Amino acid sequence: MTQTDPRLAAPLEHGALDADVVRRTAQLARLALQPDEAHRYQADLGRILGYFQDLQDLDTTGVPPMVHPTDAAMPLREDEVRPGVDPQTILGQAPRAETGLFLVPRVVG
Amino acid sequence: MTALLPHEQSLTACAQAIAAGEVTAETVTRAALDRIEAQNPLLNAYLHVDSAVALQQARAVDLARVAGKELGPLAGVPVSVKDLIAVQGMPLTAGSRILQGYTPPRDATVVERLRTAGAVLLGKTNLDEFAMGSSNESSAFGPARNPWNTQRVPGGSSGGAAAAVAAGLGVAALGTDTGGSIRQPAALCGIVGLKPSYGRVSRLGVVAYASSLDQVGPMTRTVRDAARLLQVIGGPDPGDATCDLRALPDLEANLDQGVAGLRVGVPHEFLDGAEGLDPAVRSRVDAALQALQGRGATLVPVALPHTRHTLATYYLIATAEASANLARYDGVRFGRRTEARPGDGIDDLYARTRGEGFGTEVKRRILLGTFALSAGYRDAWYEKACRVRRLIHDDFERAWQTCDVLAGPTSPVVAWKLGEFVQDPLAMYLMDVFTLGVNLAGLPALSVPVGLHPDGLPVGLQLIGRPFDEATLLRAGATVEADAGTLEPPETPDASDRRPA
Repeated sequence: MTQTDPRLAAPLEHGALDADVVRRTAQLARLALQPDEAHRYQADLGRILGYFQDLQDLDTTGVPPMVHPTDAAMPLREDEVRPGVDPQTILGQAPRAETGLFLVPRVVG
Repeated sequence: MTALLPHEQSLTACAQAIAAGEVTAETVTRAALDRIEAQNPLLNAYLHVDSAVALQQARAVDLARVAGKELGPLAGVPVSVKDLIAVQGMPLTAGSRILQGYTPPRDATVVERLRTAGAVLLGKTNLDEFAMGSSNESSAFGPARNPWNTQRVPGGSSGGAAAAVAAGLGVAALGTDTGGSIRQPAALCGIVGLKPSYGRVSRLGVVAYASSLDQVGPMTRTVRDAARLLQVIGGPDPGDATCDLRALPDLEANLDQGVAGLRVGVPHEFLDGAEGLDPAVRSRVDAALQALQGRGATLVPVALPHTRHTLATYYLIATAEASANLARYDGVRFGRRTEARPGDGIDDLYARTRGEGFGTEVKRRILLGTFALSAGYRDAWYEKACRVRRLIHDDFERAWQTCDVLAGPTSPVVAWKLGEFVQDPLAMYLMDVFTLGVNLAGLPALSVPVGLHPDGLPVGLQLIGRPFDEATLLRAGATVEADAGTLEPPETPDASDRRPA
């Protein structure tokens, strides 16, 4: 979806970001927010995005996006086997691990 | 606080004194550890100190010297590492509760290089959580304090590193800079901070905040120290595909050659056209520019017309990248996990772990970045910011047609009071206005102290260089330093606040 109309760039009400948008964004980010936190971020993000609205007025027609500060291709090293870190060392950092596996709540059936 | 001894005044003097046998590495390291013990309870600059291992490293240097072995360029020099960079055997927190209990299995490449050069690693320094902040106040472990006035912030995010070097708790430090996090705290604490060109220094083993912006760099007492430290940590690394293949030139070779004929661009938007620039900061910067001119540099007025869009562009891109980079903190493979509750699914585990583990500013930025990337808003925010990023980059490219370096203030203000902007994130973001563009364009930049504000707090001059031309940047910095001198903090950190209420 392409949005160029600045009025559509963020759903702000009285300067705060729409509550449903904050809820959905938190869900996408896998962030459990307390009700007072959600309220605070509605106001904070509303104010920040309100300030950032100026960007929408700038004409960027024909300007290609720059996602990386250099246009140089990233160099790749030779694809060869090198020593890694012992799997037990890695698993030893996990909050819960067992028989070479990370343990998480059941995800299927 | 006792005044710094000659060999504590700079990394280069320290290395030289140890190599010449005038002082042992053990003595130097003990002195640094004593200062840490005496002052860290107040300054909170270090989150972790390993005295035993540091002394062991120092003794190894002393033994090597006595045995006539060749010493590395940093042999015996006590340095600190920002706690965003992996040091094997030391906990890595990134200033966050979410990494509780995590100890990295390997050194970052930059740390490996410090060890090879003979440096003594004292410990890990305090920072804003995941480097997100300009005052060190978002650290889960409390803020570091400014040694010039302990009621003031040290700047951020590398605030602990800057406070440590300024107060002599170690001779030099490694910081990281995503939007000014080396240069701004260096300016606020009266030391030298160098953000190298994007791609100059390996990031293997460095916690990622915004991958198209992050760089590791030196925080030191002198410009020559910064050159020496970059020489050690910089250059290609097969372990980091974003690290450039070009070898570093000899960065110390031309440091003293002066600035005769150098064209120094003075961006209108950083001085006459800048909003909120403290007039006393301005006058220190003007004096430094005059001094450069007095030494034969030509001052060239330049325009960076998209400067006013830098803040929005930076915060949209940085937070978008952060929202992806911080997805890995999920309570599964390392760090902290929420208490299990009956009926939890994996999404509950992720969301509660992250909700509990991250602090306020980190959550704010993850939300902003996730929003900027989400369906329906991505074109208007993230992609728009990427287009404006090119315009900002092109402003600098145009400037290089008429000048060799750019100069202006590092920060519009001197160190502010602890707590002053904690409730106003946008006001805090505005403090970064002069440093952000450099990261968006991938340029090298240096902050050098240029004296004190009438409040008794340090002011920094920012010099910006062409991509991969750190040598010219450092040469200009050395000239500024020759005129302005280096700063030593007052003998006793002054807890009273000299600015009238």
